[in-house]
Amino acid sequence: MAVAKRVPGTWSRLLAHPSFRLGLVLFALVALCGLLAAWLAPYDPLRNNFRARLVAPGEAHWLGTDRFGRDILSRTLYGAQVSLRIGLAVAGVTALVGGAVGALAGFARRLDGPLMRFMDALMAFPAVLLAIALAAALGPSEVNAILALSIAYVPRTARVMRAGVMVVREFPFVEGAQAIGASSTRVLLRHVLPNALAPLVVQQTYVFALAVLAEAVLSFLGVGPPPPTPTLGGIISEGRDYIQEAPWISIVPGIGIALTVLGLNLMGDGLRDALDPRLRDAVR
Amino acid sequence: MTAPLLSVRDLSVTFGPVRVLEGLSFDLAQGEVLGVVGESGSGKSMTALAIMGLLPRGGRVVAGRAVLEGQEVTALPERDLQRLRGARMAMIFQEPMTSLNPVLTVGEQVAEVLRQHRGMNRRAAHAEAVKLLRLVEIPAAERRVDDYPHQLSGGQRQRAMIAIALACRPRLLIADEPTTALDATVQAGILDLLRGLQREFGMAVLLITHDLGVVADFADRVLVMYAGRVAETGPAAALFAHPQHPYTRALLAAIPRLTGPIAGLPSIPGVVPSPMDFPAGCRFAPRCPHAHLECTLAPPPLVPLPDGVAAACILHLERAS
Repeated sequence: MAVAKRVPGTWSRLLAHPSFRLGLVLFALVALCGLLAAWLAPYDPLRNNFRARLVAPGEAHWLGTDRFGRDILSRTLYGAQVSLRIGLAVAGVTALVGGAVGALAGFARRLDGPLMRFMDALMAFPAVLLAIALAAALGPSEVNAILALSIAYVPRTARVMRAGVMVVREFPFVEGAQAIGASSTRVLLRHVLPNALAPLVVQQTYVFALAVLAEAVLSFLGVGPPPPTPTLGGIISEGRDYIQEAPWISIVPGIGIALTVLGLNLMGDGLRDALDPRLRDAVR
Repeated sequence: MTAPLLSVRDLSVTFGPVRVLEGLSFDLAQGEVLGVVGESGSGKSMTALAIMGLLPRGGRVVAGRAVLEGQEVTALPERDLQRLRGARMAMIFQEPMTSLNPVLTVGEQVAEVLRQHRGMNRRAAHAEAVKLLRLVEIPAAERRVDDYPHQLSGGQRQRAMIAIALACRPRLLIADEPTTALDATVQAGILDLLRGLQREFGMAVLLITHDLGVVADFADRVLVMYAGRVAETGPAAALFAHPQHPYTRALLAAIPRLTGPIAGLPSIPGVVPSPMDFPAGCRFAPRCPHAHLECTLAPPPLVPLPDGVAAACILHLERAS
């Protein structure tokens, strides 16, 4: 793999990092649950069964049922799939858009002011609040949730990318590339960007985690993907009225969110340590 | 005599209100090696960057021009400069450790120039890169070509930089302190290599250094710079035998001798003034043992002297009149 060859030992260094390992295990657990939901789920997550309403965890329903008799384990597995899909999409979209904006702002000084002031304007709103407002305005759907969350989190990515590009831009090999006649576009794409990607990778694991969390908030407030689509936040919301009689409805997806966010953050910390040259020796 | 390869006339460079280079003129013939000498801050590197069109942000050529093979490089648009850089004129830098891109293999970086300026395809460029690495005497070039810069030693990286610079057989090579960051033994190897390649290709070299030993060894002619101006210029042999400018004399006197009793290391008192407060007259006057009142009034012109030497010192002006 290209990354492993480029910086020898990045993978082994990562795997030796205890918190990265724990994070990877937690995240892999949630991701596998989501990916394999169709095979793992014992019931159809959307099928009502009014003879089994609010059943406590037991033999028939390992993690109980909700007020329509839907199996919570099945719904949580599918919910994890939806939530991770949204989180991944947001991390991807912000990486592309924020990466491009940040790279241009960091490299072309004329664009720096306009682009970054616009990003600052977006950042002036608390991200979750902005996402809620946008999602409410756009209407509840999975695509709109991705769009709203991406807009809310893109400034963070752009800032990180811009900072990275500004550092790399001053390295002597950039001058070297110019001295052999490389054009600005070429210098940016071939010489600056690849050397400025490490912080972006770290940042995007955090954006992923934040997006999963914020998506839960959107769903909880009813501006995420509309019911009956299961999402982790949506299931918690549905269990709100039954928190006394059937606390499992909210607790189970809550644990799912906690594991996802914890896993991603631990992985992010590990990546940061492994990719930061100043901390490299400390990790070894 | 044929027209010089590179002709610099009255070149002045400013950074905002600060004039870091003033009225610099020199010629460089085909296949000639010109050593540009001076302390830090004398404007050596700025000269190189101005010719390459790579002045750092804020730097501007405000007067004069540099003409390379009939083209006024100081007036060319960026796009045309990009066609010249790496092809007709190339540059090697002081820092071999950071002058190569860490995420690309050495071969890819050599191939980049070949593909850009000589339109080679990937395969041909790779093969040519191996040849070039062999040319700069990197052992096991066919394996090294796929190595990343961090897998090479400092000397090998500088050799790789030379391979990149020479890939398109430029007529002019600017070497900005090419050996300063290297060990003494490695230095000698790099200099031998440069000298050999210079003779083989017959290219002109602008060798920027503060190491007079390197200049004596390698250069045909010497340009001594002080605080953004030419102090003295002339053929290397004549200049080293009979330095005419007090600054050149002081520089030569500051070289530690290996023979004779060990005394203290001689040095030139004071430092190069900052461009913000260059003195009005001769800029060396505050540090010059021969300075008198006239020196502080107006900058002395370059006075032609025997043996092709010229020195910008009022002493020679007075002697001549």
